[in-house]
Amino acid sequence: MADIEKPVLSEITGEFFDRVVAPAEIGEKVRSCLQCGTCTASCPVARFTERSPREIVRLVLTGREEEIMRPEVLYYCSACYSCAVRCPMGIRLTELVNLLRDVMVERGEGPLPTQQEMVKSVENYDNPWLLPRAQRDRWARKLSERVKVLPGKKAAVLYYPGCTAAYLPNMQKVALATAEVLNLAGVDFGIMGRDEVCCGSTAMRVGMKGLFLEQAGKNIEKINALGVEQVVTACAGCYGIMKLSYPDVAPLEPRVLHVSEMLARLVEEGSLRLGPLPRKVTYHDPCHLARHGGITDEPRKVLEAITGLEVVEMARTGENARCCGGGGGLRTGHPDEAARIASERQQEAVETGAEALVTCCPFCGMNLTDSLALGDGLPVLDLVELVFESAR
Amino acid sequence: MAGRIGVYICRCGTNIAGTVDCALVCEYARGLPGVVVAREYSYMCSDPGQSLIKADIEELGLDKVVAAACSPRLHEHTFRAALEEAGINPYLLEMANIREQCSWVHSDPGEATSKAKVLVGGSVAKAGFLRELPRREFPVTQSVLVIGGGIAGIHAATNMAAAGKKVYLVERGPSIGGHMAQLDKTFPTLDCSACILTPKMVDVERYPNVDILTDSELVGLDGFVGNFKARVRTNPRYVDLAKCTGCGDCDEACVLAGKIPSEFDGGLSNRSAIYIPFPQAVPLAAAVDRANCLLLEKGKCKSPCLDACAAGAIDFEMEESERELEVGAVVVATGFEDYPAEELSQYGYGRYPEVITGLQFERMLAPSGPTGGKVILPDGREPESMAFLHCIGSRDENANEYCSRVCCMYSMKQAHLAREMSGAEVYEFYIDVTAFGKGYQEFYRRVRDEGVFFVRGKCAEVARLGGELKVFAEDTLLGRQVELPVDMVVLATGLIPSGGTQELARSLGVPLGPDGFFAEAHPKLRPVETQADGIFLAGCCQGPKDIPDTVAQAGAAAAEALVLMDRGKVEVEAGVCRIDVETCNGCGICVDTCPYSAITLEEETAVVNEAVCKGCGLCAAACLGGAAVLELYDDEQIIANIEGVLR
Ligand SMILES: Cc1cc2nc3c(=O)[nH]c(=O)nc-3n(C[C@H](O)[C@H](O)[C@H](O)COP(=O)(O)OP(=O)(O)OC[C@H]3O[C@@H](n4cnc5c(N)ncnc54)[C@H](O)[C@@H]3O)c2cc1C
Ligand code: SF4
Ligand code: SF4
Repeated sequence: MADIEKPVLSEITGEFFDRVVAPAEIGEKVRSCLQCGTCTASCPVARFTERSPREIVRLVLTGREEEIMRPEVLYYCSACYSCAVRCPMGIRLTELVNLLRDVMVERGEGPLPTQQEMVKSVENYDNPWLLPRAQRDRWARKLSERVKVLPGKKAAVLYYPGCTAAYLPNMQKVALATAEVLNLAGVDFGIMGRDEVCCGSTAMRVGMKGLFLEQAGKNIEKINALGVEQVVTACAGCYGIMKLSYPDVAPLEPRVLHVSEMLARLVEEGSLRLGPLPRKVTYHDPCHLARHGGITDEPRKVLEAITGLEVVEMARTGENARCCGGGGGLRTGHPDEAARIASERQQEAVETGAEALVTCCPFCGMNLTDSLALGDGLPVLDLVELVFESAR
Repeated sequence: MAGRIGVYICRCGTNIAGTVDCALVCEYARGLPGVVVAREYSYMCSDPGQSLIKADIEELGLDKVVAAACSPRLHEHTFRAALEEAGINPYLLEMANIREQCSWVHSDPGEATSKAKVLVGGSVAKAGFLRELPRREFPVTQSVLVIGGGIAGIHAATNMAAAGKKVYLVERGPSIGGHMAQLDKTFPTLDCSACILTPKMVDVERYPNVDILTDSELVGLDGFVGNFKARVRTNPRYVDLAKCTGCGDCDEACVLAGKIPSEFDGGLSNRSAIYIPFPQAVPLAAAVDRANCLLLEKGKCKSPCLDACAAGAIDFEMEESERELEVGAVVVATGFEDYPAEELSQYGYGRYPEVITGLQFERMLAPSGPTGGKVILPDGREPESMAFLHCIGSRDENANEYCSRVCCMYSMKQAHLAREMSGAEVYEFYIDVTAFGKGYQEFYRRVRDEGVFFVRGKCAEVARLGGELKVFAEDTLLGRQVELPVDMVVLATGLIPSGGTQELARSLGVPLGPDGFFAEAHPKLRPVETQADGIFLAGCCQGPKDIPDTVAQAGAAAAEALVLMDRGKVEVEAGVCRIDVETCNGCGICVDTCPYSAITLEEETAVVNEAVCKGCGLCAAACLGGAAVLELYDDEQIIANIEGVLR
């Protein structure tokens, strides 16, 4: 009969919390958790995990270290920030999970094996895609005009494509369209070419804090040396990290902009004229742009500026947009789950009756495109592609 | 200058003595010039504590007293009374605050003790320069201003009118009644809200000594406790209350009939630009909606209302008017407003017509409401399933941190009524059930027994997916995610302060709490008083509460105001400005500086109206010749105080 016996909680202790969480900045409010479940109900991955976000908090607070410090528990979060923005007690759960991942890595228990490959690649090649440094600027060869390469040349704006748009053959279109559009609008910009390194988001999200600090430090130093006024990126992941995490590492002198912010301004100033594009599209807000970065209006302003373009919203949009499932290392760590989440998001897009799904992050774009293998869905376009098409 | 000074150091249990070594402070005080006696005691404010002071005054012939204890705001009047009882002038007291400004804010005993010594030293030095001052008393005007005509204002007004006082009941809207007029049945007894409210509305109107001023707002308050002057502006209603019979013919005739969303029905029905606020309104008369009336806004309308009105009550020439009311006390009863649910976009309010607020649902339940008391969806169908979501805009860092205290109960009341009326499957999504009042737990149990499903988890979002309106939550007791399709969602939206509360607080000089509601003077012992003497609080303007608490508080506010009026006189602070006529050269700087217009020039000399002076001291600082002197804080006293501290 031994197997019907249930374990009895014989100790409740704040020791683990005091040791691991309390010293961190985000530890401050965790004790106030109401166990209301808003986080779990907002979480795109909670269904696949042993422990929901709410349970993770409870386990942390009651000192159940051995139950939570396990890869099966901690390596599901897609870092979508849905829990964090809604938690009524203001607990930054996404960051709590990230902190616990850092500790896992320190203990040699993380990240997941598949993620380790990616991390190694960042260590060795400054990008997570196992591709050589020398190929980083290859995308730029396909541009209609030669692009300035900094610091050899000078420019006011640095365009930072990030690893996904720079390296992945099916996402290089984002880098190309961005550069073409900036050219059309007369923006004085350049790129860093082969000198560019990964923003560090990959490392940070899986708990490789040391590697992140190294990558971020390198990047900040290199960018500061260029003497540019602004850094613009078309990747929501790079944007989130540079804008919100870099200040904790070292000051980045130029202002960080997501391309949608810049495009919205160019459209408003009249520097960028957008021709008619009679089409019906829906827009997917990338987590790191909308919830993490707080940018939901600018991309819509740009879409509205395209005459003839009809934008229909999905049921969950803006701050409430459902995650595509790609972030936080989920795509590498648990590809099946990441694809299922993306496929469900595609379902929401199909329900709008739109003909295409527009987003403005190559990483979301890639994940949402790949999910088409699983079922119904819309062709995925990046905002900059659409803008390029209409500006031409 | 010294005198015969007694120093009394309070240990305040361990409040002071826990950090400050009172014996050392006492010893220090004994060595200060002029000090005849210094004692420490566990509670100086207690009877035996005060007796110590009184005995010393009588036996040792003390002529000044220093009390080193808590903030003067707490016990200055206690010690002044002790001086008076012992036969010396009450203003010969000086207090050193060694609690709030010392023991409570420091943790190092050595440093705290040194600071206490310094504070006592300063007070002893200043005490030597204290002078006798007269106690100042003024009569109290036997009338009262009540701001806000909800159940709180109505109840307070009725009680004070019954005691024979003149009452001005100022309501910003076209009718009194407040939110209670919009409710259907009231928890926990389920009695009909209109049935219990209407008689009270009629009752207050019948008192000849009550003036109900609708369409009116306070624009300024001058004076002081017992002697306020309130300026009240009445906006034009464009309908003569004396002539209008409330027949509603104008309402039907209006060209905009059925075109303007009714605020009373929460936008679930439409009204005209000239309308009767609601069937039981008091005064029962039409009012013109100035913002929407075509004639007033665009200057162009055939105005069929004018022809329709047999009583000839409509008058588009009416203008706004202002009057000054003299009152002895003010009761603030401005109530609350619904939390704007569209601000939390995840709940889909304003996006999905099936998502409504609790207040809208009350209107739907009301037999005289927009659906005739039927629970129906926008398409006319009866819902088969409904979700009630608790804590929308309350207990949430993204909105308001406080609990709105009535929404759990109203939500459960509505769940009960919804089930009874439509037979729908009903779900309550909650974090904790706040059911603290009398009969509330019993009601909670009843609703559970009846078969309402309770899901312990806060709803995270509402979205229409795959054609179904879905509620997303976690059943935290099972640890499972819930994705529940329902036909209708009712948000238990929280309560926030009425619009304009900040401006009103500024006019009244009453502080607001961190939650934005009016702050009471003491959370336990002075729950209806405010920091401003003579201004009292009633109902939801002080914080969210149910009707029983609102009425109890309104009764208490009325009683406090009656105590003030029946006492007939008020004593005001002696620390006012005095002009030294010898030194004054009549330059008038003080006249321009005084924010209360308390100083005038008469025959080239400044004269202070002591009734109006608030003792702020601006004139004393501005006067170049040093002729304006602030009693209790004159130059000699302040310099002695500083020297005492720096000794
Ligand atoms: C949906 C819902 C259901 C409820 N159900 C119940 C229930 O079943 N049982 C129960 O006990 N309680 C219930 N309550 C609570 C109840 O409504 C309140 O306790 C009660 O209305 C408070 O009365 P009040 O007079 O303080 O405020 P209000 O009713 O808000 O009245 C305030 C009045 O002041 C006026 N005013 C505001 N500002 C000014 C100004 N500057 N100048 C002049 N006038 C002004 C307003 O126009 C209004 O007429 C419910 C509340 C809600 C939202
Ligand atoms: S949403 Fe916040 S308060 Fe609620 S269970 Fe999650 S962490 Fe706790
Ligand atoms: S009364 Fe209930 S629903 Fe309202 S805020 Fe408090 S706990 Fe939430």
